[in-house]
Amino acid sequence: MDRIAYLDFVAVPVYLVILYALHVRKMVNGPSNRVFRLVVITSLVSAIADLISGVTASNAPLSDLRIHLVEVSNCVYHLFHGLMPALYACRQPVYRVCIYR
Amino acid sequence: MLVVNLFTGFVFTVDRIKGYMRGPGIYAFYILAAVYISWGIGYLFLKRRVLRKTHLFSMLMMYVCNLGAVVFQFLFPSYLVEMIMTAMAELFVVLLVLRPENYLDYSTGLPSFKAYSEEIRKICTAKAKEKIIVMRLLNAAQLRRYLGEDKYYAFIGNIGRNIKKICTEKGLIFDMYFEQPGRIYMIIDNYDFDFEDLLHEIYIGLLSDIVEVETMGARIIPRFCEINYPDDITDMDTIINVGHQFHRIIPFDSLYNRAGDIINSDSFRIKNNMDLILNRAIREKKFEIYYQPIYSVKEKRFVSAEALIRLKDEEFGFVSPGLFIPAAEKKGLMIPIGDFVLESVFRFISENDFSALGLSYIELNLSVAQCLQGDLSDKILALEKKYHVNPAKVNLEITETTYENIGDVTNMNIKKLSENGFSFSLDDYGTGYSNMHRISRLPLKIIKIDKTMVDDMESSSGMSVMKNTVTMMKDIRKEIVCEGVETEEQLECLSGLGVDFIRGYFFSKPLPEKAFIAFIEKNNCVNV
Repeated sequence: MDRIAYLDFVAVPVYLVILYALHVRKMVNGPSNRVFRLVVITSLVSAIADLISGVTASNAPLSDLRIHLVEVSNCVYHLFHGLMPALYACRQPVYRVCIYR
Repeated sequence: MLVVNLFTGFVFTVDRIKGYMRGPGIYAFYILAAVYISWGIGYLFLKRRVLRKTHLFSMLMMYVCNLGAVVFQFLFPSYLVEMIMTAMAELFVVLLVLRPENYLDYSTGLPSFKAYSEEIRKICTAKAKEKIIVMRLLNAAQLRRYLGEDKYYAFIGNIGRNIKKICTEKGLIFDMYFEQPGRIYMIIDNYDFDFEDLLHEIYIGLLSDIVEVETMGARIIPRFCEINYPDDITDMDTIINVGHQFHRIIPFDSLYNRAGDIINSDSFRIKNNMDLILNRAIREKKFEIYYQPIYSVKEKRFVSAEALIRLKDEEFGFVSPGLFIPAAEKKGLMIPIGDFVLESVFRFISENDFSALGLSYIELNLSVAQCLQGDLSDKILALEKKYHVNPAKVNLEITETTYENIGDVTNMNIKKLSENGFSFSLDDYGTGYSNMHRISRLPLKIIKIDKTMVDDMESSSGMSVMKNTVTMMKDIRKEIVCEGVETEEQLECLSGLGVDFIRGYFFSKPLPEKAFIAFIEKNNCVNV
């Protein structure tokens, strides 16, 4: 489990790089760009929540504080992760599947 | 479910020893995600024509990566691959789809014309109702030269920000694009909003932007056009064309214009269908050559003519050369058109007895594109042989622009054709940056003085310019043709100055072949 949690560690900087690239390349204006940025932020939050949950739950037995932390981080993970496919889907009809707006 | 989960453990539970454990409700999340993804893929499939292949592929990859990772992680819960796969899929989109270098105008920071035309394509494919506003600065190119690029683009950036601010305050949902040198496009989602109501505010905003510009002595001349898709226009090409052409069609003082009025004008219909008109004309040989007589002051009769191309389309009627020649140059169609002119003129010369008519030669224009051809001289020499035409009966006209831009190739063609007996003339003298030094070096027989210089003779300075020009030309032993002579006063004045030949509406407008021959027979008092 510890070994595998590092994949989430990798995902977080990748998302940060993507957000930085969007900002630097000025791809932040227009509905479609905004939705894409929202998708990246949602992914970033769920990756961080997943990471916290994975790291916190890795060493049993868990204290009460760590149990709560795992519960909260998993709630956040499920909430934001559940939002992602919804954003992918809503992005298309609402914004006419356009990329640059 | 997540809120209730804290009490029921329906979605997941956290055990002190085992850590995180899935509950039965977790499948609801998977089902929900599957529904969203299926719907997204289905919609993507339905609208696949709206997207380019790379875009479609990268968007599909987002679904595929996520779906694959979710299935993998479901089967092997200890491998947390989902987030990294999602990150990779999004990185893929950033790298493949988001290409700001193609879609941003870096001088202003606004999305470029390419982004605009891409967006119009999507709007038309999706048949989405949109309002498009085009603002054109009529003197943009001059302003850029006058202010310098940095100041000009900062000025455009300010205009963009101000319009954005005003429109945002009014609750409009829109995007803005910029096309060099001075066109701003807005695509507005609020279809029923009357943009003309905002014009006053925008104009005041523009005025505040231009304070600094005006202190430098410059002024801006904006013109607006509103296009309602699909009510006014239903196809992409026309939307783009209206944006590009409307300022040439509207009255100069018309600030706000509607596409509905513009697209019905004859001028726009012709411009908008120019590709069709040109292709049809070339395919069906719809071009005609007209001849405008040239009068010799010395011999007091008509001694030559200029061949002029004309186009009458079956659907759009007479199309002005001022419209179709620039369009043909833009589309790279000047070579076939030029070939047609050459062939027609050689045939015309061969079919008529010029000595009996009292004609010496026909002048015909060579376009820039023709002069770029390495085999132009071979083509002309082949026509000479085919029609058995004496080269002295053909005078080839080049413009200053041709000579300035082409150099070696033109030189080669001129040299070869001159050696074979063809003469050359310089057209439109007085409209460019001609100087006597250059003219004296060119192997030119005739200099053709442009109509603008003839018109300027009304003023004393214009008259002085004409007088001295004629004197200088005579000193370097060039023959002079004055074009665009319309009155008897102009004719008398130019004759007095020593001009050799006169062409203009005073004598005749350009005539079709038969009418031209009849005109020459009548006016040169010949019996053929």
